Amino acid sequence: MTTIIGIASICALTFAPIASGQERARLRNLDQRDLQLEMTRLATEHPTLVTVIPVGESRGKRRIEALRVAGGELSVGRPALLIVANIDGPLVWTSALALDHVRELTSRYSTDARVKALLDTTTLYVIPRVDADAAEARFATPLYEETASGPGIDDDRDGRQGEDPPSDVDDDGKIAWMRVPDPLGEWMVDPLDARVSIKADRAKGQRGAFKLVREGRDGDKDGTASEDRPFDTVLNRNFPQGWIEHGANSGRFATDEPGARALCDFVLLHKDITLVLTYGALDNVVDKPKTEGKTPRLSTNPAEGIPEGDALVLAELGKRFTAVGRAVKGDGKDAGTFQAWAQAQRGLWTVNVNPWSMPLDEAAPKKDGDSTTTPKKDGESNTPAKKEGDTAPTLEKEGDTAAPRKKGDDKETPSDDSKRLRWIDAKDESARFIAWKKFAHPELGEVEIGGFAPYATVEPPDADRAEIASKNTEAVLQLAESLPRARLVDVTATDLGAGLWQIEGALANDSMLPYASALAVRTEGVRPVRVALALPNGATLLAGNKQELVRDLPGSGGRKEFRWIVRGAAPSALTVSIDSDGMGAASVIPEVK
Amino acid sequence: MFSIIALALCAAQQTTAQSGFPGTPIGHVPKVEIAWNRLYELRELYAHFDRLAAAYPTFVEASVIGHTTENRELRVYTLNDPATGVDTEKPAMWIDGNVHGNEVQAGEAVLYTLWYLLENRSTNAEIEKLVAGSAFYFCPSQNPDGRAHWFEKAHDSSSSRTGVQPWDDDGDGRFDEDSANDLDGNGMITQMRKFVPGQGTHRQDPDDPRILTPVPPNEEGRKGDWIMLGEEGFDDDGDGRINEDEVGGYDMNRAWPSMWQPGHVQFGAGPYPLYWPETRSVASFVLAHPNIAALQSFHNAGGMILRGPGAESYGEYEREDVRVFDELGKAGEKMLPFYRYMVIWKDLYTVYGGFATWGYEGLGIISFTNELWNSEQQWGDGKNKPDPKERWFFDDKLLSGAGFVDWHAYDHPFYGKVEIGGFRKDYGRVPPTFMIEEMLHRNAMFNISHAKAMPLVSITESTTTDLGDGLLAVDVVFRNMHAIPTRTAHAAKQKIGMPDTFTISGADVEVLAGGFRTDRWRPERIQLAEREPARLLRDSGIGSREEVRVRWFVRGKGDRALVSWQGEKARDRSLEIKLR
Repeated sequence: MTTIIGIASICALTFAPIASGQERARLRNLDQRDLQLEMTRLATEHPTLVTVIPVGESRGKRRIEALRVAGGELSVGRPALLIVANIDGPLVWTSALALDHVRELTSRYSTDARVKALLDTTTLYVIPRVDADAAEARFATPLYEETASGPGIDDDRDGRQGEDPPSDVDDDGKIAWMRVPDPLGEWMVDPLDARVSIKADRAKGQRGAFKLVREGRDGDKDGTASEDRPFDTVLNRNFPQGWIEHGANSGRFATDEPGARALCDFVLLHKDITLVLTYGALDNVVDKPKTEGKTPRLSTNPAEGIPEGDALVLAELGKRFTAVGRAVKGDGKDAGTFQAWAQAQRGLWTVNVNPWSMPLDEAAPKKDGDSTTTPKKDGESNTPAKKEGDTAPTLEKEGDTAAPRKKGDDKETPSDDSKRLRWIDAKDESARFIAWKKFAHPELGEVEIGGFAPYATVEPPDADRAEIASKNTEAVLQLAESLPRARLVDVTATDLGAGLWQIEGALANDSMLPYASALAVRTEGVRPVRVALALPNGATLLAGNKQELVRDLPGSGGRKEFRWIVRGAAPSALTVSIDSDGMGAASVIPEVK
Repeated sequence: MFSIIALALCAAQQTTAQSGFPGTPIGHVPKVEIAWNRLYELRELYAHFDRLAAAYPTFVEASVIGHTTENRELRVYTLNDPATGVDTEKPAMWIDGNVHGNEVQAGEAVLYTLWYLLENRSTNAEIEKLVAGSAFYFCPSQNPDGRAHWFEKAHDSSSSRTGVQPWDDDGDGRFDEDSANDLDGNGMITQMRKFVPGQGTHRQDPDDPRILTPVPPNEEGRKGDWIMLGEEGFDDDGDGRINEDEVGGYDMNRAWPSMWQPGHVQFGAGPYPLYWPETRSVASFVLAHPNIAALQSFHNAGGMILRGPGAESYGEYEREDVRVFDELGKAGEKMLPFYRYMVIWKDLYTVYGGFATWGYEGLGIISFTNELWNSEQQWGDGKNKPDPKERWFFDDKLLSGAGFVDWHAYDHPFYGKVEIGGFRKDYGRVPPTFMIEEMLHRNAMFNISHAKAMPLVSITESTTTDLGDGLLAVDVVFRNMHAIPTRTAHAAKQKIGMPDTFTISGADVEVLAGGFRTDRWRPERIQLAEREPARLLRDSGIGSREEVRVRWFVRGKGDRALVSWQGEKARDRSLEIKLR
């Protein structure tokens, strides 16, 4: 069986144009098995560069693994960058995105001097999938955009848990949305754009006509469908920073989810990591990160926003990233996320990138009768105010802390969902939207089933993936090159007479990033660089500290100078050394001036 | 004749000694004798628990719930009367101690509570009722490593608070490389002082050279002759600091999930909640036992009965729950002289991520932490601040000076000629031998009062009214006889755990409608259930000593029905009622 499939795919590759066929193959959605195979393949193809290392196990006992990419000599204190992908369950495609960076960099290692120089002095850790359990839903039938993977709660307080899950009522292989007519329902058809559902605003004289729920049965006959799903805990809401106790998606306690704990342990163990790039729903490169405000908070937590110094640095990193890479605005708050923990509690430089979302900037279609509109299936039209329901509901994920979508409540401002539909129509991506169809629901009477298809709003078209991947590889290269690196410079010895030597040296950081973010200093999350002078027996230190811990140093030429006065030893018997977890190490004998 | 009978009676009384240890001094002999004027190192402590389990095998079951950093066992001893059901069907009290390794008498306090319950179960009706109706989970020590280290190694009264996982306290990339040192080899960590005539901060007491007091600020430039140099030790790692990176160096009572803050906000908390294996094992056990309705976690010292919140930003606890805390806490103050009932953030200091605060805030359990032993009991009157010199008077007169290591000379590698001396580790935060038992007994009885308050549901009334045409109205009153509600107001508000259920069923009995009555006198005032009237759910449970009245409308030929209450934190109750 496997052999036949193998041959078939080779044939496909041979007959199709090689570049695009290979690209399509390498950036496709990978299930757990294919993911592990791809990681093993990369390690086998580049044994001196790539190693598979364990991270942990998901709640469903799936392996979570990382690739370590490092060339040259593995020296102590070598800086490292971590790339994390698919930490939000539905963003399955980002696993392939992250692995593609590894593929491209390793294939360029032997021919591209810049890549070689980087990989020989920097370590790259890539964890392509953290939420291994939720990701598997991408490959299940019926298809359901699963966000949760951990223990469920009794959502409807009926003393039972998980008894009313979403399900494929109309048997079309997809679990989408239902409009259930209900005078108490909060939703109505958007008068501007009939395909969209919006929340009725009583103050504007609007009245709700239906409830908008996940497609599903009313198994417990309580009048509501799919209100108590088996999983509620969302992995990327289970981290300690801003963790919401008793939240619907929070889990029993922060790091209860084995995948969350494993990722935290990985970061804690690999102290060489100074920067984390996370592909997820959060963004801090397109929109500037918020600052704490003028008066800096003293060690209090959680702060809204980050110290101004860090915000400025991140804004610069973001500017550089978006200049060469692909990133879009984020979605949702960072409470309980990995990104927030890595930044606010570990003090790591965190670059949060949402690599794709359905664009909202597609131009409005011309008025009725214009020939530019392409004919749509199922009677769809991209002119507004069409009655036949092709409305895309806003993806109000149950219990999610995502910001509520905008209402299309103003004649001039269409809702985000109607903007998405414009894009779908313009790009002929009709499979992303399921036309609203009437259906005789076994318990609820006549309903309509339809809406955005699972994963429709989070996966880029196949044709776009290769470009996102290669552009972001370039951005990753730049990020890696900006990691702080400590160097010992100008280490000299001056003869002061009377057997005294003055030893001088400086700690220098010529990289763009400072040694430590303000948050790293505040949280003591990053070990300071240690500068030490080693003396032989019999020598005495007349002035200066044998050991100094340098907590931070600005980038782009930041410098800190040291001076000692030593008696009873020749300079050749002395050593000035620096050591750190992730900013380099060195040992220098002072040069006589 | 009278005298013969009297003699016979006297003889009979003197030869029959009852088992148990109720606290009245004559005529009772415990089955298991434990000396309560001592503190026990870990193995001895576990051995005493094992003796109790061996003497009362029907009632006590030992289990290992995890292991520590140094692979010592974390244990829970379950007390349950199997004749009345399994432990998980009953309201249970969790009692533990010693999460801070130096707070050792907490272990004995846990032990005493179990011992007292077992010893008095067969001879005291109150205790028998309590043991029959509830379960207890005793965890002798949450920090066995810390306890073992405190006993076995040189420490002072505050050290070995931590666990022993290596921790880089000073950020130099090395772990536990500079602890205090037992320079004089006497098994104690005491203080160092140096004679620096005219240049010091302290002066000797003119009557007692052991005592140093700080020189008060003055305009004449007067200085003392002595300077305090801190804990016994030297600079092990040559970094210019002394004793800055001890073994461990974290605080496992800052690891718990509610209002958890990382280490730079809350000292000792670690990088994420329940980071250390001990804490995760205990949390797993507690989470797996939703029947826990009362919680005590013993610490030392200071003489306090503490409840949360641990941080001001949490806000206030629910009013109805505060009433229950107050009732138990204020009674506790009377049972425990020199102890004050306090709110942690307000009356003590801010604690993020504490265990007892997680018990309430995370799990909805009425939880206390008692700080065992107030040293003022030795010389104070509980009202006025005692003179510090009283410590030496007490030690000299009542302990023959055993508590104080007198100052003696030592040649320090860095400071030169110094003196080493001070109070021993088992003086100050733990009681002197002869005052241990009183502390244990009073605190055990506080536990017992707390446990007695766990909910007990009773179906007290049921009436059936014939409404004609075969329609019956069944009125049932469910009462919680005790102070702790079946669901705390906090649990109800935050939807912690499962709601209580009230059910009715019977052969040939059809339930048409039903709900909770809101008015004792007006039966039509009912919160009618929208569906499934035979199974009513109530997130607010049955309140503190309150009742819930239910009315069901039924019809059918059946002449009997079973009404039941089910909940997580009290025994389920059922009553068969006659319909006609």
